[in-house]
Amino acid sequence: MSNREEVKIALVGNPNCGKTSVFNILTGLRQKTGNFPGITVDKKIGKLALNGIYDATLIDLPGTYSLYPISSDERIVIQSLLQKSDSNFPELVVYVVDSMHLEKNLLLFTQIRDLGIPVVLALNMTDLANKNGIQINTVKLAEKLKTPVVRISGRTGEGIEDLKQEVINLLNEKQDNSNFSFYKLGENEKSIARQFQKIFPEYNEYQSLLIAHHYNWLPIGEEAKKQCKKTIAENNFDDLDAQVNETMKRFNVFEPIVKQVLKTSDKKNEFTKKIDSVLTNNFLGMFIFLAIMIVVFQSIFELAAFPMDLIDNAVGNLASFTKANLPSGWFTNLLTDGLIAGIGGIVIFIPQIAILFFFISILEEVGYLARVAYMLDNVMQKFGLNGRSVVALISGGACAIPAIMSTRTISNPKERLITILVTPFISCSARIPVYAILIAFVVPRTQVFGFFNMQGLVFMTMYLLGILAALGSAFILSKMIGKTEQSFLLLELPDYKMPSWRNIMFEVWEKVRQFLFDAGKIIIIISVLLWFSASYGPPKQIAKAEKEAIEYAQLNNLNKVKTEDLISAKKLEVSYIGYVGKFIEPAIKPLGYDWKIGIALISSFAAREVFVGTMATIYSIGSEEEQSSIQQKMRNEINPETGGPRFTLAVSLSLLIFYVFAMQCMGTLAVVYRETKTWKYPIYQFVFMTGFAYLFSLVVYQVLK
Amino acid sequence: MKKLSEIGVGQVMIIHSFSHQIIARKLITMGVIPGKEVEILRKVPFQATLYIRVQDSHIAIRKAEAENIIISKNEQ
Repeated sequence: MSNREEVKIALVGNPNCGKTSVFNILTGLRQKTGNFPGITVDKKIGKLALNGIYDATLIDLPGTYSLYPISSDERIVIQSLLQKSDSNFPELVVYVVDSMHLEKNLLLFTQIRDLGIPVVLALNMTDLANKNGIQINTVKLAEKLKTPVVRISGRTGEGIEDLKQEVINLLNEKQDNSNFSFYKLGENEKSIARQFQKIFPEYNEYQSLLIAHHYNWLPIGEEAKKQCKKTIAENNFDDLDAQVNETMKRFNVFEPIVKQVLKTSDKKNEFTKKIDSVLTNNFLGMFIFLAIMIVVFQSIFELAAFPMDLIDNAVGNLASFTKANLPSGWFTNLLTDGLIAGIGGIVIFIPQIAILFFFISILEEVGYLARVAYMLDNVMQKFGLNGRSVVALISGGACAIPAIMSTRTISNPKERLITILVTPFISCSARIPVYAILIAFVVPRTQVFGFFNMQGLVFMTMYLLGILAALGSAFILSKMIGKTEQSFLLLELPDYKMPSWRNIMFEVWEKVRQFLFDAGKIIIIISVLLWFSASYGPPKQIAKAEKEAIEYAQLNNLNKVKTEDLISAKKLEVSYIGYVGKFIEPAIKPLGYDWKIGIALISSFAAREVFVGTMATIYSIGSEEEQSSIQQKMRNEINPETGGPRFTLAVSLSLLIFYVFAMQCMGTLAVVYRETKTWKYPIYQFVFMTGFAYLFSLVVYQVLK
Repeated sequence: MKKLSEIGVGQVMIIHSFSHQIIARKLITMGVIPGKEVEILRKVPFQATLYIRVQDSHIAIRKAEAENIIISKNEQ
């Protein structure tokens, strides 16, 4: 086993060439996700068994059209393939081609071939090509390109064994690339390449030319960079012109080859044309999109409700089982109220994440999401967003966590960042219980205009406020964040095809896994912290509070349950979180809140719906009582300063507004950290959203009180 | 000689050249190169995004981007 030779193989190809299917079928479950250094692109790697001879690691590089990258994830491709010192530099490249579009897929292929790395060309989607009457003479193609060519289908698995065999053959014999090139460098390019070879002696002509193009961002060291800069200046090298020239010349080389090996028929693309005349129709298109999103949105709500209840019950049962069977003490409490509750708080999101990504990856796989970007790009541009941002914003109505994870499909980093930052403004399902209890409390169930329910109208207003805040802050952010990379649409609209269920399952699992293990860690830590500060306080105070509560209970002849509730309430008051609540009271007083509401605000950080539970504890309402008793307690709560009720219309509306805008979800912050790989943005988001909520609530309270 | 942004839906033309190098370099890597057939398949209302066909691929492109594609009549 140990004498198997270790090799790295890179999977390269254009966007939409079906690379993911090929990767999934080659590696199966032996895949994992890592990071490319410095950027937010996930690196997928997997193990590939090659006849027991080679121990191969397959690296899935981001899809790109050429070695002249525009975006940062495309840069990964050239960085990995150009520098032998790079940790991802492969011994061999499997170049995946969409057989439906052979010609334009060959540009990047000829560039990679000229780098001198051995390449196997995999003609993918041959099943689709056959159906569309496309025939490719692979023998002739292999001969003309001086490269092994294999026909495969990542969807059906056809040809995958042949592909593996070709890879083994090529690893054994080592392709001779010394005297072969698809591109003859121009005079000026040649002279520059020669001078660069003096700085980088280990590189061939074309590699040196690429360094001349990309030296300013490649990690080659400051000294080498200076030399490069000097050489470029001396030779009057126009980087853009050279790129355009090279690309055109390459097309001139392989266009004739494609003409010789390719037979097409008129059937091609008819299917896509017909579907698009409906789906991207100027009138029907928007209705269909809205209908699809409503189905997705409803599914997240409806289909997730049952598994979420199951998880909720299971976690509850587990906690009470643990509590009943372990000796009482701090450890049991940490286990039940800290860890189990924390894990429950993570697992509860899995159904929503899985369902959203099930739908999104179907829409992506069939080619529909690109059409959404086409239809909505214009509108979303006005807010500094991208056509694809709509999917995240709508999904945010169910839960911001999967919605933020779905922004991966937005390729422009600025537009993606803005989408991530504003999505949590959209009212998510966790806000519903809070809205429900507060609205039911202050808004009468009167009919407006004969058929609208006043409560329903207020409910809708809360949603609208969230949408306005999201779009408005997107607009402001787009003006604030400087131009990072020029924003392009230039989006390929791939041919429609049936989704690959294997890809969809992998995608769903991948997203669930990322959430569980990356964001989950942070959620558990915060959850344990919250548990600790709510369960502990200065020991003397706690003992005193307990004693007082028991005395009060005995004096008033309270039953056992009522006594327990009272003890919890009194203890919470002198716990650390109680102190924090009292500490922030001066700050939240202008909004009309006291320290009790302060505690509810802080513990809402675990998840907004915790507000209801915390209110119940503070007002010492046992779990067996109804929600209406919380409202009753709220009604009876007296503001000691005014002598009137604490929850006036002004306070309740101010609180409602606070929950619309404030960032009160550790899960979301953890996911934003995961997606942006820095704490900077979650902190901005927290400060901005909560600050905005504070100001808005302040105005509401001060005007209405 | 016209810009791609100036023609109507359904007119088949030939790509002649580009008037903006940065857009050009991105377009040519996607197979949008001089000499290829181009046609606008549909437009989002209010002069916005274009859905174009170049040879046998489909691409969404903003109107501002299409202004940089110079086209000529199909000579057959």
